Amino acid sequence: MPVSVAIASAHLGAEGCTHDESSGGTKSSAAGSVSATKCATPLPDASPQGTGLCGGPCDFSSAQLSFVSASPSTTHVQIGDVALLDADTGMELQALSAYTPLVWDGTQYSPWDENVSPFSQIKTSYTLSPPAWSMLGPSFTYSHQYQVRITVLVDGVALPLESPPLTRPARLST
Amino acid sequence: MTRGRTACGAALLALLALVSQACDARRASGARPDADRWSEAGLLSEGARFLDDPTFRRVALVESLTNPKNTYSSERLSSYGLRTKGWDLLPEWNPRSVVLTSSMAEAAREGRTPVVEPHTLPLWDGARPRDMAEWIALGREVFFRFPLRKEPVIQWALAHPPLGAKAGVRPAADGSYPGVVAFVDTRGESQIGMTCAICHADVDHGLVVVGQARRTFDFGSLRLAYHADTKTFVEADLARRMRTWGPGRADVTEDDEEDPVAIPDLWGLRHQTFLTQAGTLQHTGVAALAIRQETQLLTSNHHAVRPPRELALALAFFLYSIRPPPRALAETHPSDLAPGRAIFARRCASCHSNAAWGGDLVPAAEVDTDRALANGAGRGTGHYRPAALVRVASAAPYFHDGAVATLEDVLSSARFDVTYARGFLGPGPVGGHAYGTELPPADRDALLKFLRAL
Repeated sequence: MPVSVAIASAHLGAEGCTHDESSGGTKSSAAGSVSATKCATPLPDASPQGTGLCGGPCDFSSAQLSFVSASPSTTHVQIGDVALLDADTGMELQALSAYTPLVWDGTQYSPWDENVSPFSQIKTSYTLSPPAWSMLGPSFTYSHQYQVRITVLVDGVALPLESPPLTRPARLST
Repeated sequence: MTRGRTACGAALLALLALVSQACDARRASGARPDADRWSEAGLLSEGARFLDDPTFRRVALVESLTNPKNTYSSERLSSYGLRTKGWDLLPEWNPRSVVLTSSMAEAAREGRTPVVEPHTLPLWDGARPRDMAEWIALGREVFFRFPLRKEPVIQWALAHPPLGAKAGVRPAADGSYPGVVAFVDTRGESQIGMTCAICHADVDHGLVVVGQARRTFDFGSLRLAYHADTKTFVEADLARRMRTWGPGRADVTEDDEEDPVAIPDLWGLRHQTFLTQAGTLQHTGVAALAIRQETQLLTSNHHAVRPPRELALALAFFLYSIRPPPRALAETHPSDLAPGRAIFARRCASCHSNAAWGGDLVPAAEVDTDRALANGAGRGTGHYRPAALVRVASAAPYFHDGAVATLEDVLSSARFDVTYARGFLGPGPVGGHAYGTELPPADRDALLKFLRAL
């Protein structure tokens, strides 16, 4: 493979935290699975960063991937399927989607065209559509462990990757 | 048979090689405690290894985790110090961040996000400190300025000063807000965030007391007020839980248990043999604390970046440097303390045994205070760490969960009674830590006098 890829980290955020772009994701977004009637008064989602369920503070889900190119030519990469797995059984719980590719420029994440330059090493980040925690059964709790499976397409060739076991973040993450 | 023997022999050789490598790594890393480890030279030496030796970092992590099966440990074991995958591949983030000033707070009051000036430099200049004093100075900057993510609830508190101040978000005499920063996030946008100092530095009559738990900081009620005011969604279960936290308490564990903890003071951290109230980490050396800080700054920023390791190490050295403020009470003559000291030595010192009057882990079943944290899936070990007793007179409420309001009641059997109404968390009995409650009144008074002098 001319480009190798590894998962640096994945983060499972809050339900409903999504950007507008996720609606065009490769899989149907889980956002909105909590009824809007549970929101007191939904706020207009005017923020380009997204504001989460009914405008609340948001903890977005994400995946950070590292690419290393051994190729003398530019390689195009893309995210195919993304799935939330039960880390105990490996069972797929929900389909997610990845969007808003960003690349680290030494100071911050900036928009990225998903092209990996020849002989380069880059660190990237994708926002993930949020798990619909409320749709999972009662055993899928904060104490449970999950994984994210991400299929990366490298010049069209599928490369499935699995994150290490993850938990939902603490209610006050410190 | 022959093939089986060969395979078995190969497996044995592989195993021996692994064991040998592990031993070599341990020897090379110096991860075993040694007499010099806590001297300044020892600390700097271990710090250098933490920075420069990936094998050492991994060994130090593994050695520091008390219970490798809890979610705190398993997350780190599967992602930390793996070099070719996991968190080592994350970008280093050296944030541009400033402690919130009064003029920035004014902007927040008007509903604007304060803008970090373009000329603002990153927190760290990239030069590795040359001595302990420089490390501590850098660590202080991390303590006050490295964001633990953007925090809209803090921004809301700034826009509602009376409520914010009541919940502990208030300025020092110079108008700055310790623990609150304006920073440029990982996507280049100005944000309001919080830092270590929001919980671990108090503002007392306008003065910043570094290391003193901010016992007025009430994140739960702030967030509930935020949701009520902005009419935004909050999970019903989370709202119910946050109502129970109260000032100086929060649930910080990655599990389902309801196990909020009281924010601890940081006095004498250097002498604690375990970190967190449940002893989640063995404090085997400065690397254990630096890894704790490195991974905390990583996870609290949603796993998107990691801090430069120099900043994690600097923070650890800074935490060691924190000294408690003068005692609130007038100094007592040593002879007045002698009876209490003797009782302490007889009845308390087997657990509260170290230089900070804390100690090694005690089974939760033996302490018998609320066991949710100790047995929790998130950070549990089945044990509790005896609290450090430096400045214990000023450390109310007591126990890991802040259940007891006064030092007198810690040593009083009255709190076991169903009619007990003085509990910090509400009326009803508060069990556990029966040590000292059976003392005759005169002995109890002597012990209290001694404790108030610590």
